[in-house]
Amino acid sequence: MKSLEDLKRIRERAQAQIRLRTQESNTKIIVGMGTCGIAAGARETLMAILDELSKRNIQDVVVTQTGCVGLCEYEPLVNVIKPGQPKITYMKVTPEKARQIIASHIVNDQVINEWVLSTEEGA
Amino acid sequence: MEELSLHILDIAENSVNAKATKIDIEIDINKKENLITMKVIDNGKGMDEETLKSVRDPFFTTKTTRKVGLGISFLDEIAELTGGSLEIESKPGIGTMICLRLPLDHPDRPPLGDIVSTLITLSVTNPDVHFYYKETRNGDVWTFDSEDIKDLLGDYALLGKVKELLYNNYKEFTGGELL
Repeated sequence: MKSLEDLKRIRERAQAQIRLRTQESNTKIIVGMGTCGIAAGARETLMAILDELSKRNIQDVVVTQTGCVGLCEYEPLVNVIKPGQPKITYMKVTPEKARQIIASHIVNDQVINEWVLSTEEGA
Repeated sequence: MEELSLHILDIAENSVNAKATKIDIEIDINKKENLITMKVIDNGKGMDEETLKSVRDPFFTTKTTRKVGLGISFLDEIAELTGGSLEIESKPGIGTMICLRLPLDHPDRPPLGDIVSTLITLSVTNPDVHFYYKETRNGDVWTFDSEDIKDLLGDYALLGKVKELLYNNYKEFTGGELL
């Protein structure tokens, strides 16, 4: 892999994946990226999530951000929304916790209750 | 926040929230003049004069979820602490420009930090926004354009390679010098 040009050559494959991930049935991971989230380490948490998705070659997940929701003391907050399931909000998500959330919740469908701040039905 | 790159992430997220579709981030490092300049320019909704006057106040925010707004006041504090300056220009409907100038050698000047992580974070989580980053170090220039990697963002396996490539490119540019 030498340059962006090399990467562009595999664009076609990527575009197919984008089509896949923009389908509404996909799982969403939303990281709190307000000032409070960033100050609490949200960037590193997000980078760990991307890295774990990359290592596991998981494609059908959309990773996005949200601003401050007023729960600054629990940041970094990470929401996981799986199709047909309640929205789970995890609190104080360090990069290590983020990796475990990917393994347990995203891959194996096991919510890590210990770290859950709230559960919202019908999200 | 301990890194300028985290402040850049924070300010650029403000721009995203202000509905910007194009965000230019510029860093200029000039050792001769002992100056680091950080600019974030967006085409978001901008601020009226009244908002602009209050924006440095930590107890001012447009948010409704809480009563403090720390992003800009952090920058103001850094400028004050180091003898630098913070300039903000904004026009409703046109956009906002934030320019922070700091003495390079001041001990209270935060390090630039992990700018590549900031650029990846912004690009991945805001795929509809065009981010352009330009860093100048004593005349040498390094740029990043989110449009170049836009089509690759959806594939996380490729994103890992993009990340590696950007880190290597950037390291080549800086020669590993941390500022």
